[in-house]
Amino acid sequence: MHNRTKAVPALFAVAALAAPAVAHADTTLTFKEVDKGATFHFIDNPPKAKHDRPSAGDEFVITTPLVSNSGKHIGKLRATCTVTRATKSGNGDDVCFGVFSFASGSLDAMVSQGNLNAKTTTGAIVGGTGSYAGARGTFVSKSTKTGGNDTVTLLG
Amino acid sequence: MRFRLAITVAALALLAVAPAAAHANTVITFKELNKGSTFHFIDNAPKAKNPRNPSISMGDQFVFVNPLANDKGEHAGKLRATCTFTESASSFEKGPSVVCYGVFSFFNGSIDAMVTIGNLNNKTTHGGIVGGTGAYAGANGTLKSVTTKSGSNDTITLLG
Repeated sequence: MHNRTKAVPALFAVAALAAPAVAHADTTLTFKEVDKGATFHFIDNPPKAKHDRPSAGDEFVITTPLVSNSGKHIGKLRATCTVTRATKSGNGDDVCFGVFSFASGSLDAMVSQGNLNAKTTTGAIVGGTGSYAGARGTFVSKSTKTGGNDTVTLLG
Repeated sequence: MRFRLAITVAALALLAVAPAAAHANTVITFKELNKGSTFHFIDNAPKAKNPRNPSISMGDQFVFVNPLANDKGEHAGKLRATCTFTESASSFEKGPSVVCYGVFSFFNGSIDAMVTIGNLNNKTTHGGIVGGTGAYAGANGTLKSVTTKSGSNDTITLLG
């Protein structure tokens, strides 16, 4: 009896020690990108664009204000994208990287878009600073009339 | 006797939780194909004097899209990437260094890579895997790409 009671708490201790390794919850952040106050600059590398169609190697840089779901200013997204392939329809594809900067830290993102005009963009969160140091996860950005609704999922 | 049984149960419990700290790495192999790929050189200032065989200046770039095939040769996705030259050279053949980032897009998700190549003529390229989406969300690991006659053979090792 004595030995059994001693062994059972030991088992719980083992289980308790192990549990945190498999029980980290993911963290979801939601916010909005807003067109108002945003900047966009297109870098038309040769050959020059015709009919507003980008060519491979063209680039664009953006800075977009970020607001909370209640509309409060919370930061900025700064990003650069390079067109990797152009199409006659103008729906080229590209690769981008950008940084979401918040008061408490920043999140670094990488994206590949198969269609520049797609209304939903999915990408990876590859790092961060401050509260988000070591961040890993994904993000989804859905275009709206006023900008975009973003959801970042940070893996636990 | 009961004590020995308890120790055995405790040991089994330890074994049961051990995998949480010992995830195996995942290895993915596929091929990049030259056939169907696109390549574009961006000659940023100062401009090269001979556009047909341009000299390279720091800040020049190139972008490419390569089809990906699985080991059976079936279409598996695309690699979209951009590279920036970090040193000057009289031609591509001199193998100037670049830094690149790109995204391997597969049907079940994407894998993001960052690479520095000290010499473009190297037949083997190593890089880091820094993230992903879908089935590869949170991915981190390494990339090895070995040039072949038809493109390259790639191996991605995702850390467990």
